[in-house]
Amino acid sequence: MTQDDWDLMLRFKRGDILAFEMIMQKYQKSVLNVIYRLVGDQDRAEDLTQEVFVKVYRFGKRYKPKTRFSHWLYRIAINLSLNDLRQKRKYQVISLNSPLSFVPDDGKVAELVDQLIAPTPTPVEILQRRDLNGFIKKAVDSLCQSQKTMIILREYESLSYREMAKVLNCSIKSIEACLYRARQNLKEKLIPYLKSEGFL
Amino acid sequence: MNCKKIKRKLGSFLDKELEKKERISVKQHLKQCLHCGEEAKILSQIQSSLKEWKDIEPSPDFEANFWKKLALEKEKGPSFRWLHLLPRPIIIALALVILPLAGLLFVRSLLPGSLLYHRAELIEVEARQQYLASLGLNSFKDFFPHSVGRIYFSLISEENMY
Repeated sequence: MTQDDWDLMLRFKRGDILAFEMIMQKYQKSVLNVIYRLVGDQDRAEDLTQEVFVKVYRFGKRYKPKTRFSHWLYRIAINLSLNDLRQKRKYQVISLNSPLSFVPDDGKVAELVDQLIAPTPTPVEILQRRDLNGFIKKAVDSLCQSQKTMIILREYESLSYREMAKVLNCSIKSIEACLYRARQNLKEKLIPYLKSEGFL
Repeated sequence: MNCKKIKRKLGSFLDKELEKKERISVKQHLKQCLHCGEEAKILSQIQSSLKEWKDIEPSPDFEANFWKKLALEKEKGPSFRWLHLLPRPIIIALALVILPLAGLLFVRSLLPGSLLYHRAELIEVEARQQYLASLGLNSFKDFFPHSVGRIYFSLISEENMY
């Protein structure tokens, strides 16, 4: 925890709401993006980010600086996101009326439906495939939850392996192994695109 | 290190997470091995491609919605939603301890001598007295000898009336 964060948390513990607002302003974008990349839906991500800060507000007074404040935030954000994904999977339904989207909220089901219904991509789909943002999103989304979480913390939040180990409560060795597998999976998914675009 | 080991270390090498000795040996290997050099190039390209997934911005009413949500949470009062923050193995371990204890307490409450058992006995006695009073009797001893009432009460009260 940086001195700034600790000072703000101390002020918040004494009842200074302005200090809490400063913490929220400092971290809201970062927490929002971690959650967004995990759950894949902007509205839901915003909702869950607010829940993270509700937890900080309610339990912040009990917080002790054993871990860095940002690590604590990431841990709450990841737990809430994975819990949300579990709930979502439990109650997943496929609408028979609404049209299928190529970049869906949940990749796996729609991907399967895509393969079953439209084995040859339509021109619109081809154009969407060319959208690198969507393509990367889909590739990361196809990873298992632990690999996805690690890629997000490493590539987008630039956490060191040691920091990731603290946030995820695991060893540095398992971080290395999981990141290796995640990158191999991403390589498999992204190489055809990178070659077609002349990046390789 | 052989190519297989080097490939496993490439991610950590690009992340600058290797110790000095390993970093030097990977660097030297990459200068000599075209195949591993190509693999490093691919991984590096993948890393930069990942950055194409752009960040999103919080909506303008993010903070207003947060304060609304907080007010709703305060109205709701304490809940057990904090349980979701605990790792699943801890929840399972807690359940394994708490559930058998709760079961044991429940079973004990049904055994003679427990408060619940004693309360049930009092209710039964009171019901019997009300029944006797409704028949104009003070005690089941007052039932006519050999009558069904007297035999019945003699059996359930375990009193030897004969």
